[in-house]
Order: sequence, then structure tokens, then C-alpha cells
Amino acid sequence: MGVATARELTLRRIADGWAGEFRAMASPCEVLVLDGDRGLAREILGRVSDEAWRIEAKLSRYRDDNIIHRINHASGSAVEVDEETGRMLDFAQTLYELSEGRFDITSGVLRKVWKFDGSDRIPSDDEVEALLEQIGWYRVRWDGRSIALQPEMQIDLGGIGKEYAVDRAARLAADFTEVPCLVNFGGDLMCSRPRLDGTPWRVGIEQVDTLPGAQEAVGRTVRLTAGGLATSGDARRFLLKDGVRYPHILDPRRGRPVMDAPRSVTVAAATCTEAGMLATLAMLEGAGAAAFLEGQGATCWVTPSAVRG
Amino acid sequence: MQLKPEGRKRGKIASSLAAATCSLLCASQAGVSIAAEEGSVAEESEKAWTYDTAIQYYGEADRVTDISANLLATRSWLDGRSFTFKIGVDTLTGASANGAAPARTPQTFTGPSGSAYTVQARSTPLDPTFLDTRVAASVNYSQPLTERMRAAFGVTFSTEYDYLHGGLNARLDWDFNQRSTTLTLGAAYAHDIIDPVGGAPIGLSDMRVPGNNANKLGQDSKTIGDLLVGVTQVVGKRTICQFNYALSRADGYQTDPYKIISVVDPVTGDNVPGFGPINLYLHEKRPDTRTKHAFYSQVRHALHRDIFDISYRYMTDDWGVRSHTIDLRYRLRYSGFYVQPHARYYLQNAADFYAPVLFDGDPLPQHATADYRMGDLTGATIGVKYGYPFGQGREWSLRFEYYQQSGTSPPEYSVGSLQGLDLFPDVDALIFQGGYRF
Repeated sequence: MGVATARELTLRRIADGWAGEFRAMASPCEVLVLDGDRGLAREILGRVSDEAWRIEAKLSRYRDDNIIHRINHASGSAVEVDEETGRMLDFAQTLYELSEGRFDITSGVLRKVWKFDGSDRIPSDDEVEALLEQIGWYRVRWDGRSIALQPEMQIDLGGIGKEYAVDRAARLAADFTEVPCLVNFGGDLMCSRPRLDGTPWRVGIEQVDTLPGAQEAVGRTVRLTAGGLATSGDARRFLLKDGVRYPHILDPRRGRPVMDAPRSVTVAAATCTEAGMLATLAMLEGAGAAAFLEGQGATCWVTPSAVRG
Repeated sequence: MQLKPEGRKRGKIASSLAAATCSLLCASQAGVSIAAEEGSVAEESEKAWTYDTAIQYYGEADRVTDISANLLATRSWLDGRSFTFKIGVDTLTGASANGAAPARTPQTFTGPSGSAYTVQARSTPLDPTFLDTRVAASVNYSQPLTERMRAAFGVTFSTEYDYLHGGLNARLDWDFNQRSTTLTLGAAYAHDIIDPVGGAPIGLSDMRVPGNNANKLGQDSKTIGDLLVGVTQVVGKRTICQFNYALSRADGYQTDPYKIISVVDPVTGDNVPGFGPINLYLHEKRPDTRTKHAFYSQVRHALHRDIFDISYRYMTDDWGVRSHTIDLRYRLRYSGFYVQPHARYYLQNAADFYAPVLFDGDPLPQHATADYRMGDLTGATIGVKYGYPFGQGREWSLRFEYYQQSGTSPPEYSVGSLQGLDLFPDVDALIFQGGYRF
């Protein structure tokens, strides 16, 4: 009951089908199956959750038996990667280039000094400077087949992994059945097919205001006919010092938080990955997030940093 | 606030991101990954154009040498349209077999341009004056018609000193069965004009002494129509099969204006005297129509990292030629490069009207050729390609191949002095190619 533990699947009847639930990637995950067949829903849930767990195991930086661990502990030597990891590294490289270095899968080491636990512990300039030596995709040797990090550097594909898993799962569902499904991993979602009656999927996006003393949920319903939706936001993760709120979104080029970014950005796009990356790139633009999204012609919903009311 | 994209073009980052996402997600289908490996799928967003360039050397021992340079430029749009432009230039030099049989005495021939040349006793007669430069160009445009249907149109053109080709082609691809099956329909039409050096000789007329052009006509032409039906089937995640049937019909001049046939004594095997001081040689003649049926099947299978590719083609035509081609490639992928061994075997039976020599006193046949390419022959190629991809579809490659062709002459032609002579000498060729894609 309540919180699902690892590898636990639950199925719940909903108005027009079944909702399957499990936990993966530190998020509640759900697949809605628009059909009354419980066996079918169970099968889809099994496939979707297996894929989520497979990707989680593959990309998790908390495990020592996966490709990420091998890359991060190769002490400067090249590690040959499988095709899927290769595609993700290519994708990460494209994002690095498109964002002019703002999106960088080597920036995770900043977590050593920036602990977004709601405390007031702001790292010193020296601490940050020392870490910047270990950050920068341009220091990585990636030739399309093997990757070599400098010693002390680390990569983390977690910033891509969840959206990628959503798209993969939605595609598995689409390949498996004509029945429309909606895959939702912690608010990042993708529909496998349009609903049969042509009506849009109605998706609630919850935006929790995190200013102290204002635990008010700002919800909104989005209509999604096809494609994916993803949200990037600083949620409950921040530092607060001298009345200044330091969001958890860090600019890897300076090792410091991106200030004045919106509280959250939700983007709709052809796929969840595309939506998620646009949202992430927008947040990295800080105060320019809304203008960036407008410039890209994105369908999006922006919650400004100071929610009033 | 919600920002609406109405009436606004997507920004550069959004489009690039869409394409990169597609590479990330779509490539997990085996079919697409094989296609991408072959470079036929435009996978990158930032590069609107890709270019394939290659320089190739083909050299037959003691015979022709061909050096060619090719450029293929492809423009792809994110909405699935694509445009290609291809141009190639090649120069052929050296000597080529004129069709006459070797003899135990030296032989003198009249070259197409009207000068005489002499070939040593016992050696295969080669016309030493072979030199030509060919320029070929084509454009092709492809566009999705619906979500599951694509159409392509192309124009082809080539010119060389004595030959002009112009053609049109069209193709329709239709995906169904959840995109795992593709049906292809294609059609092509070409009109070629042949303007042989010195004029097109009348078929089976005598080779004349230099300066006598009484049996030469002007230019001639042929038309070729092709139809193709094909099915491509994705089987599982790692295998693609393809089956094609192609029908080709050519009408018009299909004779090789530079090939001749020796007329020999049926007992001694020696050349018989002809018109003037040279022996009797007849200009070859082939039928004016040719209908070909070709069946092609191919299987490509992606192993863990490697790609295996096997194809078989069977061709039959109303000239009596039947051929079988088996082609095998295996791409071994290593970190940062690949090595692709290649083997190919070709087996052909002779055309009904193939004859290495004609016998003096026999009635003149309707059609005849002594061109070894119309005879019973086998060709074997072995080679290896080395490729070095370096991201975003860029790659350089080197290819080296060895080709050997051998044939047999029907035993009934080895009469008299011809018994000790090689009526069907082997041809060995080396091929080097360097390619660069960017």
C-alpha cells in the first residue's frame, strides 16, 4: 500500500481503461492503457516497467555494474561503448554544442559542493574553481565508438535518461498494441498513439510553489493530442542564504546556479525527449527562458520565478 | 503564460534538437541503423548537405585503365524531402580486345578511325587506340507523398566521344504493415545515341582496308525501358530482406561497332583472305531488341556489432544469356573504424549467337559476336574496404579489390591451328578506391 517499493507493479481501473504504476528513476511512473482488457494492460505495464528499469540500471550512477561506472572509473583510458550508449553520447554532444556549453553531462561533479538540501551552505569560490577543472565536454575524447574521460571527470546521462526512457517505453507500447497508451514517468510523458475518438489526452501538470510558507499547489490541465510533454523546474531543491534563493540548475561553465530562471517550464513536442531537452535548455537560459522558448517556436507553459497570490 | 507557436517557424535549436532526438530514438530500429551505417539516411540536422567523393583506379593487366572521379551531393530536409546531384568523370585508356581470334601469323586490322595496326602472332588481338572520356551526371528528387509513401524522380545524362545518353526515372515507395514492409515500384526510360568513330559498320559486313568506308553508316540509337517491382521486409530487429524483379527492354542499335569476328578455314583454323590485303573479318551484329528479366534478393543482418550482407541476382534474356551473381560483404566494426571483406562471384552462359570465330563456307548467321563478354565466363572479385567514420556521418575509406575473369571457348571452335591458341584469355584487374564523405 502507498509507496511502491522496487519492482512492484500495480494496476488500477480507471474510467476508460487501466492505469499501471511502478517506481523507477526516483519517480512515480505510470502507463495509462485505454482498453478494458486487464491482461493486455498487465502485459504493457510489464514491458514498459522492464524498459524503465533496464534504462535506469544502465544509466544509474549509483551502480558499479554498468557502462556509466566503467566510463567514470577508467582512469583516463578509453572505454568502448555499446550502440545505445553511443547514441546517447552523440545526443549529449549535440546538446552541448547547441547550448554552447550550458548543457554538459560532465557537470555532475558540481554536486560535490552544491548540495541542494534547502540549507544555507553556499560553496566558496575556491571550492568551485577547483571543480571546474574536472568539467567540460571538450575535455572528453569521444570518437563515436569509445570514450575517454580525464581522470577525476565523470559523466551522468541522468539528464537525458528519463525522457529517453519515456519515449522508448511509449514506442514499445506502440509497437506492441494498437491501443492508445500514455506513458508518464514523474511528469514527463508521451502518448503512444492518439486516442481513438480523437479527443486529446488531458494531463495534469502539478507545479508546487516552493516559497516557504506558500505550500500551495498550482495545477493546470494540458490537452495533448499527440507527442510528448516534459517539465523542468527547480521543484523543492534549492539553497537559501541571506534571503537569496539558489536554484539547483547549475551553469557548468561557471559552476554556479543559473539565477532568475523560471520556477518551472513545461514544453510539448513531438517526443518527450525533445520536449525535455527544450525545457532544460530554456532553464539554462535563466531569465531569458521564456524568450528562448518563444524564439524556438515551442508550445510551452512557463511558471515565473516569483509566483504571486 | 502559454506561448503559442502559431505562424512562427521553429528556431534553429529546436529543429536541430528534433533531428538529434530522431537519431537517438529511431536508430533503435535495426533497419534504420543499417541504413544509417550505409550512409543513405541523412541523420544529421546541422548539415543540410552531405558530399560523397571518390577517386577510383581500375587497371586490367596489359589492357584498359580507367580512372574515375565521382561526387555525390545530397541535400536533405527534415520533412523527408531530399535532392541528390551526382557527377562523375572517367577516362579510359589502353588496349581492348577487338574480338578477332589469335592466329599463328601476325594479323593486320583497320582501326575505327581508319589507320591500320598489326598484332603479333599467337597473341590476342587488341585495338591499341582505345581512349575515351566520359562525363555522367544525374539529379534526383524525393519527397514524401503521405506519411507512408514517398516518390522520387530523376534525370540522367552522360556523354562520351561517341555516345550520348539521356534518361528519366521515377520511383514510388510505400510502407505498410507497421512500416516493416516497403513496396517499391520503379520505371525508367532512356534514349541513347551512338555515333561510332568512323561510322557504324553494317552488321556482318567485311572489315575494309583503311580509307574504304563503303560499309559504314552514320549514327544510330536505342531506347531502353525498365520496370521494377520490389519488396523490402524488416524481419525482427536485426534483419532486412529485399526482393526485386526488374524487366528491361531495349530497342535499337545494340551492336558493338568496334568488335569484329575472324573468319577461319574450318580445317586448318587459319585466317582466310578478305577484301584487299587484309584477312577476312566481319563486323559483329547483335539483335535489335533485347528483353531482360532480373531477379534480385538481398539479406542484411546486423550482428552484435558487425553487419552481414548477402545478395543473389539471376538474369535471363532473349539473347540466351543467363547469369548468376553472388555477392557477400561482412562489415567488422572496431572501435573507430571498420574493415569490410568482400567477395563476389559471377557466372554467365554465352548468348545464342556467340561464336569465337566463324567458319569459311558456313552460311552467314543472322547475328554473331565474338565479344568475350557475351561468352561463357566466370568472374571472381575479392577485396577489402577499410572505413574510418569520424562523426556526423563523415567518413574516409579505402578499398582494394582484385578481379579475375576467365572463360571457356566451346571446343568445336578449336580446329587446326586454333588448337594451340588461347581463344579466351583471362583478364585480371586491380581496383583501388579512396573515398571521403563529409
